[in-house]
Amino acid sequence: MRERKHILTLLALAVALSGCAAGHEMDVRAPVGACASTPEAQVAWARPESEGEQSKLDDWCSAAGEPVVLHASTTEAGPEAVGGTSRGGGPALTGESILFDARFEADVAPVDSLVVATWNVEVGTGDLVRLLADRLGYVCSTASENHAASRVPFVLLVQEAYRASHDIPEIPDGVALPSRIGKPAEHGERADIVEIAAACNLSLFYAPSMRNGAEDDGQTPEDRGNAILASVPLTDLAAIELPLETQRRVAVAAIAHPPGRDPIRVVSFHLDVAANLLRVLTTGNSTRLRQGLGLANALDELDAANGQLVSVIGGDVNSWSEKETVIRHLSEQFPDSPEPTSEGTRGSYPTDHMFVRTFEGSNVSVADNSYRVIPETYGSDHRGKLLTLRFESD
Amino acid sequence: MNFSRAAGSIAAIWLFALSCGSAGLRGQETTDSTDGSTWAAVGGAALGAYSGTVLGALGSLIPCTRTYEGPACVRPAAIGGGIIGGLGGATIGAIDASLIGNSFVAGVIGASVGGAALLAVQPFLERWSWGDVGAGAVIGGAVAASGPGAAIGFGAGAIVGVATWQLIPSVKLPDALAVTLFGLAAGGIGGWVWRAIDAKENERGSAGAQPAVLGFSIRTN
Repeated sequence: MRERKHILTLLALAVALSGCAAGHEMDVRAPVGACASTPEAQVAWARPESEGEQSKLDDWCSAAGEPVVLHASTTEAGPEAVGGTSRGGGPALTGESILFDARFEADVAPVDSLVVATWNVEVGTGDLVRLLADRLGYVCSTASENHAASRVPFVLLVQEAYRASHDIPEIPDGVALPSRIGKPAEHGERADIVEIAAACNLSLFYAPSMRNGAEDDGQTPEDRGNAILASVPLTDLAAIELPLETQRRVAVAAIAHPPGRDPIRVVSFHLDVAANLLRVLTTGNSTRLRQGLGLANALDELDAANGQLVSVIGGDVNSWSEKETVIRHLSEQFPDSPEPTSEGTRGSYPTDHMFVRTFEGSNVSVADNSYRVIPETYGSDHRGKLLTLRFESD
Repeated sequence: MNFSRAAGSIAAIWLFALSCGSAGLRGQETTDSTDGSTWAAVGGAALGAYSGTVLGALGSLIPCTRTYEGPACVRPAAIGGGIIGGLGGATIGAIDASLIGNSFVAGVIGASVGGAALLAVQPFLERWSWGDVGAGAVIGGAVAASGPGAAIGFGAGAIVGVATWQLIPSVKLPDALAVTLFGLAAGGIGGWVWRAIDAKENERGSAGAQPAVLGFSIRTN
């Protein structure tokens, strides 16, 4: 009898440990201050509630620069700097509000559609200028050409964008850094996201996730992260620090304003590839699911005050399969998403995906057969994806 | 689960493994080498539960990431593996303490190899911690303690996985890895069952092999 009791006790302990090992938890709140908050630029912040995670995220953040906001000019004078960093990672702050203003309500002809694309540019090696011209019909040379061209407005959700600046802070002691990514670009110089936006007269919201490794002597400091590049105005900017698994990941969110149409929430995000072995074993490999659910929760909280918004989120999910748990959950949270496809975007792996949520009476839908993989890498290690939102006439 | 909780879990699993191992050895010391005992049964249950839990989690990791449940799907696999391994280990220990002692020694060797492997790959990993070495040791110990079944399962899984990966275009490398790990887990957990059945049969066999005794008496005048 005693023997049986011992065995049952140990089995119960094993069961309890296995349950603990497979668990995961999610807790996100928004918005709160963060180490890189930029009140002048009116960027809202969301981050995990756990103080332990916040402390680690702050360590990552301390080696990166601050977000950059550029607002596309309606004249030919080039982009107007409306936000940036007191440390100077981008253009100087003007103190001007970037919230919705009368400029967007001008009497303009309503557009029929908005193209939303997502693309991992592999830290500047992807040829953004060529992709803009080939796939989005946006000739990036001079403002006059841009405005002269008849085109569908677009939003490009960018992952692994990078910014080089001497204003990125010194690397604090004891801060772990990721490896530097910076292979030579086939098209010449790697494309700095801030320079591209300025040169092409596009709206930009860029928030670095991490420093792009330690620089050698003579190299300009760099950071990398997600960005939104758009031919339409962007407002209500938010940086969402995802639950920390392996590396700090900051999703960027904005409300895009297609001319004459209701605004659209757009989000660019990038999930971790994998956690370390300890983390995988003790959480049942919940890395990307936890980050994806954290993103969805943060967006719900951010948009609680905005009422109903059509949302398009897109990014590098780092998935091995289109059937992965995080994709199933995001498809559920964004029920108007196109069917996830198995077509490879990084080699043969379907790593990049887009998710859509509309609401009854929104008069917005994903155009039939518009969700597809861009059939060229443009120098990056990823192919992009795009879809077209169709606005129905009232 | 945060990192400190994860580290705590690993530490708990280690304590668990060490206690079950020492229990197994104690079982060996306090009994005849081929007899079972209470302590050997308890040690066997602990060792089998630890091994089965880790193997169950390991084998279900990739398949479960293709389901809606995800991590919640890993949990029952780990629990199921732990129960099967625990029952198998208890049965073995109750019959033959030396078998559990051998499993424990194999587990210690496996844990050392697993930990050393994670230490060796440190230069190639972006993020690394001593917790990873501990996790490698936990996995190595669990696999080695389960006996040859894990190796057989691993080999069979690798052959099937690589063959389908090469022959069927829609099957990708992670699918081959999933089949391999599933084979490892199924072989290891199955090994606990197979060894328990084997021990039972040996027990019956040794009882049945007693030479027949004919009753007779010698009468002397």
